[in-house]
Amino acid sequence: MARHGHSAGRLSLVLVGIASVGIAIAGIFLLRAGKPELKPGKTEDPFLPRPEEFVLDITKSEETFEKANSDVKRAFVKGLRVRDRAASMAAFAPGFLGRFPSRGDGVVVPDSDVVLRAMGRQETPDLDPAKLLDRIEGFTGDWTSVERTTWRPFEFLLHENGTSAFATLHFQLAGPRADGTRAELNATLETGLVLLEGTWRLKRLRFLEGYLAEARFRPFREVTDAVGLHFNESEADRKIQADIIDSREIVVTGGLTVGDWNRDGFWDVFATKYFNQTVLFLNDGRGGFARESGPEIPPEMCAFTYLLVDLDNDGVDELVSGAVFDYEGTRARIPVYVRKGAGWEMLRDRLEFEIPVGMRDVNVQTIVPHDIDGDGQLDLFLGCYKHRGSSQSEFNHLMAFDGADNLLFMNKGQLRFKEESDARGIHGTQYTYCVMFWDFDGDGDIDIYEGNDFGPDPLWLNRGDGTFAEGKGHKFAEGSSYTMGCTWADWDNTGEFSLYISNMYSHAGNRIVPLAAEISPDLKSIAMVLAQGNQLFEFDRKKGTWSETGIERGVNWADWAWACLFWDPDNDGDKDIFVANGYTSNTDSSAPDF
Amino acid sequence: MTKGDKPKGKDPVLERAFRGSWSGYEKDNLFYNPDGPCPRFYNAPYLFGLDMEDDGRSAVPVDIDGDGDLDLMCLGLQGLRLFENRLPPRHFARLRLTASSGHRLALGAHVKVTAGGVTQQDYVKVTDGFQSQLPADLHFGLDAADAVTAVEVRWPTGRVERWENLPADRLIELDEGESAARVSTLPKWPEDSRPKEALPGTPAATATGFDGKRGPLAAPGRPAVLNFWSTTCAPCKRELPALGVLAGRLGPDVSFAGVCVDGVNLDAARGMAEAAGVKYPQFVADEALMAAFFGPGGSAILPSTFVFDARGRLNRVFQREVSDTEIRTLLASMAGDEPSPADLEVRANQLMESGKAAEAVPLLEWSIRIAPSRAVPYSKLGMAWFSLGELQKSIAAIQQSIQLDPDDAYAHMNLGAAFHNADQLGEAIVQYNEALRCGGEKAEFLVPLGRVFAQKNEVARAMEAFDRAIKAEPKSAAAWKWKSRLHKALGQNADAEKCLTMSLALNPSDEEAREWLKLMTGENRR
Repeated sequence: MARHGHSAGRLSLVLVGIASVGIAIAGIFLLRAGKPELKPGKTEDPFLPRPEEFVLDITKSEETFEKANSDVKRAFVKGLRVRDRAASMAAFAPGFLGRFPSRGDGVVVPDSDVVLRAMGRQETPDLDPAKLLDRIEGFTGDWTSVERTTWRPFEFLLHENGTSAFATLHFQLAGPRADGTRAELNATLETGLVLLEGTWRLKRLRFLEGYLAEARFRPFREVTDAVGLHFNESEADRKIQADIIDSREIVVTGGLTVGDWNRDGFWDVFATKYFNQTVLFLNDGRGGFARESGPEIPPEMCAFTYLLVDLDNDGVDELVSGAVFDYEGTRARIPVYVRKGAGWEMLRDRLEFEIPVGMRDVNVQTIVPHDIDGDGQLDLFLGCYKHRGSSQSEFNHLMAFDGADNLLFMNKGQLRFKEESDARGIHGTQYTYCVMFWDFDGDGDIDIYEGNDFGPDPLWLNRGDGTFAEGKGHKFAEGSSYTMGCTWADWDNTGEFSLYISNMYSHAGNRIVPLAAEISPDLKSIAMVLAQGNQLFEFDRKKGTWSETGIERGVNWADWAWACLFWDPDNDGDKDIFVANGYTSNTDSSAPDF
Repeated sequence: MTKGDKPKGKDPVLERAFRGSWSGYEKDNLFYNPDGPCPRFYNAPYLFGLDMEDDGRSAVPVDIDGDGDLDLMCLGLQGLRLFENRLPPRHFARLRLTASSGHRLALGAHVKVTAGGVTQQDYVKVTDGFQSQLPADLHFGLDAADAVTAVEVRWPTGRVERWENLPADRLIELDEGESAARVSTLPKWPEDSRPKEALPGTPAATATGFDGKRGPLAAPGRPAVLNFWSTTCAPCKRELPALGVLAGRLGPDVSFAGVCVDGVNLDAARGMAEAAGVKYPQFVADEALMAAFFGPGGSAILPSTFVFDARGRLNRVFQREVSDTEIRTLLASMAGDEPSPADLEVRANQLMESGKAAEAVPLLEWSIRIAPSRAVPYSKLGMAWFSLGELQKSIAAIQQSIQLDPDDAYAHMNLGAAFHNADQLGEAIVQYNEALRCGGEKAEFLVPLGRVFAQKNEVARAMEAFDRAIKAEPKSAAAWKWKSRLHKALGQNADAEKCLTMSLALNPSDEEAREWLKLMTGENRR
């Protein structure tokens, strides 16, 4: 009962490919071999030429990739990790030559916390296997072990003879030093591979660019167990959740609401697991958290997200839930919890809104407060993802508009609200994950950015009267993205704010989209942007234009990304970026990753 | 015509029966911004100890311990995590704004902070990233600057105010319209309560008891409370009686054990435990045990109490006197034995999609036992029974679901399918019409309705239903397909072929339709 049309289905699979890794998806393609679409690289370097012709059959290419990658990792990469030089040596083909910098090469990037040395593609002598390993060991020699190795190709071009290939990849080695500080070498490499006696081996290896980072500090340390930050699910629940994750089902789980619940000056945490439980962890000011009862919320009413703010200006915070319930005809309601004596009372009817008849399971992902109309009372924007009828037939992974309608509740005082999204010009039913308020057009009033999965991220520009018009043609809204998180800051103190959004980088997507001969160049270009991951939008005041700089700033590859944050963990006055990522990790870490 | 549609299922393209990871064990990122103008970031999560492999979702930077730097709290599929910032201390400013006009939280206020010749800016917000609320206080790292030269605030009303010469490393409270800033020290966790890193000590660690026998501190398979104390520690002496009473009250469900760290004078230690009324096993600490619980060197903050869950996983460490209420609350949170109904339903769904409806049934029944007022598990149970061919059970379960939620269009649709398959055609028509009432004019309700009419030989009504489906959703391959079947049954072969061609164009992977078209074309040619 496939619901996809042929071309739509093919496109969907490319996009699913972006979101997945490996042959399972690529195997669904049945594309013919043909003339290559990629132009040969400009560099006609005889050391490691980019092939002019290569296999376009994605199934064949990816199957070969799996084997070749596995062979090289099993020998070369494993050898580096366990410091078994003989194992690494087995990965080289006769006549191998490499080009790799020495530890002292490159330029020092000035910094007071991290010793950073950036290395570009430079002319180094051709190295035989032993000399190449000497150079790599020159970086790792003073580490007590190699704790991290990464070898992840994002380009794989298989020669039509099936016995040689060209790959470009992300490479990382990282390890601790005796003084407790850490070091890591990150690089982009180009490799030439050949199949010899059934095993793929390295024929060429070239360092394109990279950096060695060595900390002058000891790292963050995890203190979860000591501070008592656990949901403490039952054993039965833990087993079922493990089964669910192992079957790769879960998308999101729930959110964090950090605030000062008891006004003691320490930050407390209200953590929620959707449809499961909420726990209030009160910071005891003495090294941990005490579990306290917040509002009593039954499992079926536990939302993805909650917001703790003072909605009626009485100096006491209310708790707004993201759980839509009480569906009745064309109405649905969202609870607000207010303090009553020592406990809480649930107000059922304060956030009430209209839905199409029969709609269920409207799924709220974010609740963002702002005083939109300047009346001194916080209004609430609820970013909604989907409902039960979403993502059904003809689902378009590229431009999906069958998600849920976002909600804008205007605060009318006395904890009464009126839903006015449509009345104020905010329309559309996309898959919204994050929302941000800022005067994006600098005209003195507040605008709204909406980060959506499976589609464009619209900007709602304030007309000056609290109604909004879609900022069509704005750089943020260009193209499609799988936006999960967004953050906004002047990260380098230039005087300009930038927008950073988390999407989904995919090594598999980067490999297979260029080979997908049967989708149009336009769609291919959109798919490629999607595969290239996170985006950074920067404003050039002189030109008055926004540009997307994620790749050139080195912040696009963050895998399947969710939360992203500008922050300053080292208090050095500029902002770094944290990105949380991953979709589902099987409890057996050796299980295949699709 | 064949029987009714199957209950609504999941997109088979995304359906996966096999188990494994999907972008699993991906390591979180920390894109590092070096000093000075930054042409690019350098991803170095390992350097910072933040390259966590959980399936991350939410994250909040927050100064949990009040020491002036941002710690990181994360929530992912594997649970919560807190990473304590141990980077070298640098100066900072923490700003808390209160608006006098508009909402007091001053959301959107634009703040510029100048210190050490550098001007930074930020804005007041309470949400950031993904599904996360963070404190509205603004945090500025000041590097080596030990004072704030100036703070400029553009309030949400547009009013701009400026404060000068403020101290660093303080909480600075700025009220709109007030020229004087309020400056205070951040409340901070006491140094000796700083949380410990995970260490290897568990209840299975062995030590010599007061009775001279060597053995594990506590039995496996139940929560454990391990209390480290000494005869010279006054707070130890204060808390021991309460722990003794609590241990007695909780009985064998929880293991309690004491570890005396100055067990040289065993008589004094025994005497103190007895005087406190403590009856649970007591051990004498040795070097290995101390290293396992307190790290190399093994110097303990006393009293220290370690609480473990039934799996032997550390659940909390108190490096201070603890109250019986704190321990009791913590243990109570571990006592549940029910899963969440939602998790049962998700798992049941997975099993049904993998063709294991029989395994899904008990999970759905369990979910109903826990939360009997919810319609969804009944509806899913109905689908499971349907898959198993138990049509009357399916009908009963879905009817129960509809009783709880009369406006659920898909429940009506599924009930229609169950009636259809049970040859209760009149009831099926009623339910498909109910689905239309609740869910609006949709092909997925109209096509099966048309098929029931066709089966009843009510041709005009059947054709009307298919035409309505096509009008509502011209790209519905199913509507064109079943309209084609009806034309065929009426001997209208040319129309049948036209409709089927359209259906196939919309859904080329429908092999059944392709087969029909082949036969039909052959017949028509003949």
